This record gives sequence, C-alpha cells and structure tokens, in this order.
Amino acid sequence: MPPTFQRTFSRNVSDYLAVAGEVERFCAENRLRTAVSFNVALVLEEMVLNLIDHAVGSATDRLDVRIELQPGRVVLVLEDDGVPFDPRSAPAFDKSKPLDQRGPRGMGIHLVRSVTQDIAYERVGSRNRLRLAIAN
Amino acid sequence: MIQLTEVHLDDRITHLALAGRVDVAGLHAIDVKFHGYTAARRRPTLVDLSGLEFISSLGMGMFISCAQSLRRFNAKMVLLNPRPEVEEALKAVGIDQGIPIVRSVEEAHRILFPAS
Repeated sequence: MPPTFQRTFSRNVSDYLAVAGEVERFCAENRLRTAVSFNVALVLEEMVLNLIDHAVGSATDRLDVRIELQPGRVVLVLEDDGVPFDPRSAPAFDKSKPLDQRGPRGMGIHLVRSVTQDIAYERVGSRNRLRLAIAN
Repeated sequence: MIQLTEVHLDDRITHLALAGRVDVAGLHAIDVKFHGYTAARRRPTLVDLSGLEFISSLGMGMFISCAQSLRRFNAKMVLLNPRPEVEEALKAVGIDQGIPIVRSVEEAHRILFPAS
C-alpha cells in the first residue's frame, strides 16, 4: 500500500490550516521534491477554500481528504456532501487579460488545472468526489 | 509562517521582502501591512520574493490589487527573484504580464524608472 494521508475535518479555515500543516509534514517525511510539495499544498488550499467559500447544501459540513503517493504521481482525493459541483465545468480563465481589467479572485481553479495531470469528478450518492493527480 | 520586511535602499521606491508562506493564514497576517507599504504610499515598489516558499491565489490577488492601486498613481510594482515553483504559479495566471518578474535590483530600477 502506498504512503497515504487521510483526514476528515470541519469545513472551516481553522481546521483546514491544521490539516494543511499535517500535509506539509507528510510531504516532507516522504521526501517529495519542493515543486511537488508546493503543488500538493496549492491544490489542497485552492480546492478546500473553494468549498469553504462556495459549497452549499452540506448536511455535515465535513470534508474528507486523502493523499496517496503512487508511482510517479501524487493523487489527492477530496470529498464533501454539498450540492453537486464539478470544478471542470468552471469557465476558462483568460490569463492574457490586462491587469487593470482583473479582479483579485477567480484564479484558483485555473491554478489547480495548471499543476495537475488529471482531474476526475464523480457524484457518489449524496457526495462529490474529486480526484486530482499531480506529477511526482 | 510569513514575514514582510522593508528594505531601505532608495528613497524613491518602496523595497519589500516577503518570506515564508502566503497561504490563507499568511495573507491575513500581512494583507493590511502590505497594502499600507504599497498602495497607500503610491511609490514604485519592488518586492523581493526570494524567500517566499508558497503562494496561493489569495496572495496573487493581493499583488494584483496593490499593483492596480499603484497604477492609478503612475507607479509600478515588480517582483524580484521568485523561486522556480513560485514563478511558475505566478506565470500560470499571467501575473508577470502586469507585474514584471526581474532578476536584479538594477533590472527593477530600469522598469520602475524607465526615463532615468
């Protein structure tokens, strides 16, 4: 079985930060390269904060995260019981837009797309399951 | 852990050094201070990112917001020497097109003061 990190936590910033610190230590203990650890932290932060800010309809307000170190890649699985949301359906981001015409938000999902090899989404019963693969 | 310090090299510019992690916690710790050093001063700004280990979209939004404020007063912001993974993330959203990434203070000065 590959090295795996797994936690369930409440959908709030305080609990997320505690988990993010544990993930950072998990990456260090498993000697992931700096760039890979950076991408894992980036994907986790963008997707979890997106759920904290925008997800509605959750009965439990709980999030499940699992990180598996598979050969050649890191797979991050994020589950919640909010209303169905497939981040792959988010509109394309125009990175050529001039600075003066930009807002300070709206870059997160594009960043996630840019550092992942693959994003898979499925609705499993009443839960969203997002699977994101990062090259290692 | 995040650290924002001012480096005094030149009275004409605001020279800052940002080190550590600009995640959601880091942003809350420095956002007001960063705006105070940059947007409120309305001076050309150089931000040394060589000690920056992590940045998410929240931190990038802070850069965009402050650079927009500076532009309204004809002042620019440049980013100095980000680590490769930070630079890659900044470029992934095209921040470098509006906030140039430079390799030296001299290069920064040429962008901040093009006529001098």
